[in-house]
Amino acid sequence: MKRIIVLGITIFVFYILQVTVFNPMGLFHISPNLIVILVVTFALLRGNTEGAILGFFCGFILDIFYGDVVGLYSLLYAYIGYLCGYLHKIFYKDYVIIPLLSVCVVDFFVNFIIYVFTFLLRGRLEFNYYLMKIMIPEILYTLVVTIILYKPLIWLNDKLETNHEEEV
Amino acid sequence: MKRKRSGLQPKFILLILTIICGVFIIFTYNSKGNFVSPFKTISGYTIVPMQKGIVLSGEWLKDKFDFIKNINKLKSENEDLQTRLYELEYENKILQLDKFELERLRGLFDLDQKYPDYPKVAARVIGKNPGNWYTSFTIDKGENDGLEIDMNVLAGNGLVGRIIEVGPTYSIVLSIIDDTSNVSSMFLRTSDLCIVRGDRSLLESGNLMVENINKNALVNDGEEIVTSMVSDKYLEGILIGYVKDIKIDPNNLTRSGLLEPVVDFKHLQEVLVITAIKEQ
Repeated sequence: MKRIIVLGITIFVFYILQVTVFNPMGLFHISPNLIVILVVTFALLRGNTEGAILGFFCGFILDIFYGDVVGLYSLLYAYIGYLCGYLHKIFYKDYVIIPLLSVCVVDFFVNFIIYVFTFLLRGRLEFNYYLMKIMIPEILYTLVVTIILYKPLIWLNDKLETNHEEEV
Repeated sequence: MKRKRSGLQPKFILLILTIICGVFIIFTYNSKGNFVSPFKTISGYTIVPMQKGIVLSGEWLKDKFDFIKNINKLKSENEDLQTRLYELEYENKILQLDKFELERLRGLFDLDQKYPDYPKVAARVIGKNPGNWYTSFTIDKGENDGLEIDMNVLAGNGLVGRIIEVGPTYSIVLSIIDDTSNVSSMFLRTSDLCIVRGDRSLLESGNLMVENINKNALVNDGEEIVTSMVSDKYLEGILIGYVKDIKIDPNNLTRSGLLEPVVDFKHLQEVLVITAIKEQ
């Protein structure tokens, strides 16, 4: 139960930071994607089931506030959490390279999906422009933020796991 | 307690989530409003106040820093502004005289005031769309303050956008610089119609597109563009910006150009919502 509450609060905090502190109209018009960091890191740490569920709820918040339909981001992030969960078996906490690579790939994937479904379908064909000006800067920015947030997230997870063992 | 449940196959859970999402998408494809209203109420009283707090404290900090940084700049600026104020006061007097004359003449012609003073409510920007593709944002007033969908939003004297979603304590504004935004507008001087379209690839330069200007319209660069009388969402006569770089389109029938908005979208903190809705 405690786990669910703590994770719920974490999602809220990440969402609020995303829409207030890291807003896209500031520096370079680009913001890092904190939600991707949260979903990928927890999927790596906890496996596909929890990755999928966490991803679903993260996407759900985005959907409620800013989505055109409810369910699109939920579905996207649930699948991301699920797929990243497969890396759980080969994942080792002190190797930062796996989370960084996954965040990189996932962030590109998310942006690509958004581009195809909401920009390309309206006839915005300049993929190169969007790649250079939105996707790559966002990925780089997200990677930097991942390095900063990775340790606190690991710490949070360790804390939850020790608590869990004590409960059992 | 999570461990016990993990007896369920992950694939099974993913399937359940997929079905839930599918159902959500089908139900909310046409109207998002009814489905999300309970969630909106909950989040309106939990997330929104937190957002507001963060934004307010951020602004406070920034204010303090700026104050220390800019004290010299402020002094010289103050002098400049003082002289400018005198000039403007003088101009204002002349304009007021003109206005009295205009009112008198209007009364003679028995005309209604053309651009009435719309009732306005001030609101604060408390969040921006996560992600880098769209430029909608959240403000801290909602249904409880009498706001409704499609109300127009201004900042200073220029158009910012319109409300596309209302919660009890917040609403979401689609700005005119958003890639999906189209505003039916016209040239103030000649009343030639055109379309002002937001474009993500122009966002960095801060401009918008102006399209569908009649080829034969007698318009020049630098003219004011306002919302038009035929727009069904935007009230008539709100200033949007100044047109520049008008060029003829490849189809040789219309012209298009760039629009420099009067609103500074990069530093949007407070906005005004017009609480009147355009009648259809």
